[in-house]
Amino acid sequence: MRFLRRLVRGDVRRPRMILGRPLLPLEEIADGIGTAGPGDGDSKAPGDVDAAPPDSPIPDTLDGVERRLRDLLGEGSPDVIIRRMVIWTNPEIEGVLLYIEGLASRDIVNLVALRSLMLAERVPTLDASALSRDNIASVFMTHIVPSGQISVLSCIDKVVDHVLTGEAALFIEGARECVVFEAKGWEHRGIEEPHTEKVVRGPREGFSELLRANTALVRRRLRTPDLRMDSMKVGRRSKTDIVIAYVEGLTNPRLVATVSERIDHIDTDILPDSGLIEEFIEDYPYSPFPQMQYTERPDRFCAGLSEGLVGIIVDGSPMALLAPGNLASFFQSPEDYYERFPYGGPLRALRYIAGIIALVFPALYVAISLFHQEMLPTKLALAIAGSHQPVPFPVLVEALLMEVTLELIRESSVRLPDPVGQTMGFVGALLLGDAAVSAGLVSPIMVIVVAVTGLASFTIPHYPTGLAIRLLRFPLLFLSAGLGLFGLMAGLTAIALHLGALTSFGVPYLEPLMKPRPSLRDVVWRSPVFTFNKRPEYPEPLDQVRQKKFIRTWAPGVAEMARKESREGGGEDGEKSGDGGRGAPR
Amino acid sequence: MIVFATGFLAAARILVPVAGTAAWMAALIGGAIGLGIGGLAGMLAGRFPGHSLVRMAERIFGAPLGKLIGLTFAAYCTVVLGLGSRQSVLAMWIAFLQTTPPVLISAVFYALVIYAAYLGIGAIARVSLIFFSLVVVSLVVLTALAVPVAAPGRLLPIVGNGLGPLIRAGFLAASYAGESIVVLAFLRHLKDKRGASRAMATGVAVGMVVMAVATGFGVMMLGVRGISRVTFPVLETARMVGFGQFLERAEILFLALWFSAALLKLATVFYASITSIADVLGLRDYRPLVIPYALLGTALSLIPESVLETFDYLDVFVKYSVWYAIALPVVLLLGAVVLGRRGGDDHVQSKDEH
Amino acid sequence: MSRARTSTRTQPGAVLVAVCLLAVVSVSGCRDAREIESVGFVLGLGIDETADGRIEVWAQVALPSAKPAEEEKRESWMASSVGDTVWDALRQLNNRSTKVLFRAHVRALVIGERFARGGVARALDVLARDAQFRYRSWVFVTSDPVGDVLGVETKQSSSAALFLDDLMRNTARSSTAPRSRFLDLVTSIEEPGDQPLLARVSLAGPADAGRGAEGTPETEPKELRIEGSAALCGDKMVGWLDAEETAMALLVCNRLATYSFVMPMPGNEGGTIGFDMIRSHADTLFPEGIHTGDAAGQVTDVVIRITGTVDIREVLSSEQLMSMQFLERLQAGISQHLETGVRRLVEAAQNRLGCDIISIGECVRRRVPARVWKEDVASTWHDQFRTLRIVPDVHFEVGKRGMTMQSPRPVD
Repeated sequence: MRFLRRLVRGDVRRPRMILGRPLLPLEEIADGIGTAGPGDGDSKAPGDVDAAPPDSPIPDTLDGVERRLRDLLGEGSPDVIIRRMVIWTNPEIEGVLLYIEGLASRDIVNLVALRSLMLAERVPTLDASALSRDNIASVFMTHIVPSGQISVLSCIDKVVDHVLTGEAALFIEGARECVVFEAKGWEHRGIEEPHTEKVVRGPREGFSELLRANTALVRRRLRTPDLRMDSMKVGRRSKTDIVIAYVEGLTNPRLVATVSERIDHIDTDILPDSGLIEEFIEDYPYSPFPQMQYTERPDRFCAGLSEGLVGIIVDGSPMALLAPGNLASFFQSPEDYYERFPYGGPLRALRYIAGIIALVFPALYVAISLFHQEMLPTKLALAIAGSHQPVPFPVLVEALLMEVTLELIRESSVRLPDPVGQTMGFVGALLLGDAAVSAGLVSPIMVIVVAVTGLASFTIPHYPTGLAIRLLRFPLLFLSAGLGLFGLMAGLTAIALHLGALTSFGVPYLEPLMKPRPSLRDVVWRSPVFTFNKRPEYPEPLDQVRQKKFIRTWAPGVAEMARKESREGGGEDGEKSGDGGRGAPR
Repeated sequence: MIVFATGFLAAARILVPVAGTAAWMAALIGGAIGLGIGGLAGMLAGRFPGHSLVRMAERIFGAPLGKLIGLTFAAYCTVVLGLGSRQSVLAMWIAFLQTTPPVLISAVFYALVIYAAYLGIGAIARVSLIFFSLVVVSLVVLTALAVPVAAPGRLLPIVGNGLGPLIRAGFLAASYAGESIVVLAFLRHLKDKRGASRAMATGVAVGMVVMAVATGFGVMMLGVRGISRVTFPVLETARMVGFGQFLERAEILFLALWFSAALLKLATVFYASITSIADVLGLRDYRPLVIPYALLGTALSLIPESVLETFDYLDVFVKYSVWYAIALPVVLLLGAVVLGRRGGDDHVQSKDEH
Repeated sequence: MSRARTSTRTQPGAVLVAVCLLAVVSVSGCRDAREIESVGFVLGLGIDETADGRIEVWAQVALPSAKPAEEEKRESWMASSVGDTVWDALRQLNNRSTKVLFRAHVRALVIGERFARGGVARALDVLARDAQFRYRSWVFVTSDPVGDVLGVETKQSSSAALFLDDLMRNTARSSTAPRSRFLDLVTSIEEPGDQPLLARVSLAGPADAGRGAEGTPETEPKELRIEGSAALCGDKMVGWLDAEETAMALLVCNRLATYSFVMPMPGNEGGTIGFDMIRSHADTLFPEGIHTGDAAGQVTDVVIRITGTVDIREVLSSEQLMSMQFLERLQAGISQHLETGVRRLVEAAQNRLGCDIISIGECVRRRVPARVWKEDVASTWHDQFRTLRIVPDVHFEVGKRGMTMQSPRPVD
């Protein structure tokens, strides 16, 4: 491992670099080769990182330690702080404090290490001579260093790993082990409103890049002791922390096993965002359709967990993943639930319609205006023909032109800073559309078609689904220009078949849409919250019951129904383990 | 898992000359016969859980005879496939893409059928459900639009050409419903046998009611002579309806939808056929067969040289296929009862596949 | 999650199929595609027979303009050509147009009287075979030159065909002309018991209030009038029905929407009274039954029972209808009035036209076995029709009488 790390830094192959730094003892290099070769240490699953290789002990002298650290972490990094100091024991012993500035909080290091070791009153009472090489670190841990999260480690590689996650390490003269204590305190973005999933009504908290903050957000909303957060590390160099969150006794253990197994298989260099995880572990990476939900809303995440989904939070990414996903889940917005159901239902239905419009509208227009002019009302046909008179392009080219322009505007306004981006979007759309029409490049009707399509594609709450739909629009456009509605239908059938075959972690992609009763209740429509007695079936949760069947028993009539029910069937099974339903109702 | 009759595109033209104004009742009679066939198939499946058709036949009559029955089944499916695809392609070609070579339409059609068969019955079934509901919705819309144009008086006299022709036409219609026996090929994939037979019964019933309504409205709008004359009666009725000034000539929408539905149905048949052949040949995976079989199907669908010939073949097929659809489950069931064979559990594990 | 493991194979198949489809499509080169600006939308189609027996076809093609405001101006192009058959003429028309003539938007099909008398079947085939042609276009018959009819400029609409289309929606509502769509023609031409009535369109000067269709020779702008109908026997036109006869025919066939009429006040008060017929129902009864056995399908007596309601729209009389007795007398008078009309129609149908335009044959067909109708009755039905004893039996009631019970000031 060590060797490979050096390889990448380029200091083994390149003599120039070796010359620039103190040469390593030859046997250490040999050592490195030895471990990297047969053990193939790095291609091991990342979960094995913690199993320390036995052959990287802490050097006996502090000079040795220092040299070794500079060797491991490099000479010139200004943020690596290696501080020699004297510990005021009786007799004094020397120590080396190692931390990384920026990762470790200066306050904590000052307080915990420097002050307690050099200034504290109890330190001089410690009889250092009575301590052996083996227990000196433990005594320091238990008696001297005032930190909550603290441990002793004997392997220097592991120490460095910990230091790189923001902890600080104290090497003590002559000690075989080293004290490592928690000092994390890097700068990070605070909890802000989620940018990609805005709601009018509902919580404004969003995940941030900090894993711990994110897990805390989840814990705070899902206080059941059954909430499990299994930690993993992925990324040979990035060593990114990943948390697999689920609810014990609710989430199907096979699903959890599948997810963690697939993550286990990932062997990559770095993992900048959860998006990469998604691509590594989904069933059909070649499909244009996303197969996992992502969200930066803790409320949505917790609601997903409470339905029996498995959540994945990746350190450094504000986007948490939920698996399995399916088509219906991508059309749901948390706001559907936060608003009262009379508005939630129609809004969701509208979103499905928008999805269809976004997919087929330009293709439909091309097909009809090229092949099926008889379908248009006469006056509209004449209007279209008239408006198309000055346009020099065939309608397909015209449509492509406009579509590509729209994508350009969209892409450019994403890249530009916020205020400029918005202006750019409006100005671009208005100016370009108007200018193109008056220049006779496109017909006004085409502008309307493309604009409506663009609007519709933005109503889809899950961004990648919108992307998939925008992408598929183009082949459909070609098909309908070639074969009219027949081609369009053929394309749609192909897409439908593809969707039918698609699975996400083994769950059919179209599943909830296929079941007539639940699909009316909470897929295409949304029924009142108090009717969601059962969790959705597709993640196969262990516990189907979400809440009591009759909650509004104080309302006239409901109590009677409840009584009748309990007389007949003894009431299925009321409330099992009082959790799950606590999150947002989803 | 619903097999639906998409044959209604041309069905009316076959039924009406025989049964006259009572053709819609013939469709219902056909549906009843189809339900009977479906019931037999369900009994058979209940007796041999987890068996495909070929396995059943082999278990009842021994390997050689069983394989033979399997092959006749595949042949039946092939004919259904060839005729069905030819018909759908023709409808597209005649009504809309007059100058596009029909080979191209066939190619697109078969590309999709192959794709569907390759993806397997799960995908087909899921998508069928969507399109099936769309087709039903489209027909309801069509019917609603047809009401102002339709003249119910044209359905009189009620018995049409008399009882004899009515029953004869009923059997013709049953040949459409009889196509539901293709379900036999993959009943083993279904988890829930009772639900499956119920779904199948619903499918046949809805399909035949749809056919009855389509035929009935066809007669109401075009009259007996009109229906007998036109190429695609349902399409013609779709051309006639309109709503206000903006929803006219929507027949291409309907046709495109029906085309997809027909495609899915034929993909089902295709799948049934190749899995049976794979069973006969003892292959574990049917996928290698997809392409060669598709070529066979294409070739078969190109045999009729003209529209007239296609309809001729169709007439013949419709006349006789129903007897096969009845005979197959009856023979198998009788054989099973007489020879006292029952299904063991040796293939149960395959149930979990879907 | 047992399925989780089985289906994790990747799927280049989707990509493959998509690419194949695209390739196939682009190779085909979009043969059926027509750019919409290259389409000549035929709005009106006219067919007539020339004096020497050839077929002349007119097409009114819309010339759409880029600016919708200009659409108010007349933007259409009239072309005509002569050929041996309708198809022949249409073909030649195609050769003379820079745009592809597209027949799916034909709003009005105008047939000349000469052609209609010679048999509309000659035009039916080509149009029914055509996948483009619109089944819901209106069909008219005119005694005036077809070209002139289609060439009329009106201020109300951009072309004569669209004008006819709009006009028809209103005229047909008042039932002085039948709602004759192409599909009615197609579906009712096949059975002898059910004859199509086609709306009559004629040229009339703006000041020409009379119903005469003589055609004023002056050059002043002409207007189109839709009134009355042409009766077809089989596919051949046999004569004209005037507006009242048309309304009566529609009344008998249960196809009447509303019908407005004015009649003299019954009794001896004098004055007139105007009505709107809002509901009517006609039954065709066979009091003697339909013969079975030897002369199967033979009928001798027919009673046409019509019931309905009329609303009073105008009373120009000193009688203000405030007594029950007079109301009853009024109802009898209305029934009498309409009965006279129906008698006149039946007289015309049986003698002048010699053709069952009131769908009695259809009623017979429904009541006899299909075989009997097809073999014994259908061929001789029109002969039989002429000898029928048809008795109208009309009963109408007075419905609403409007916002005032009596005239503000009764007219003497």
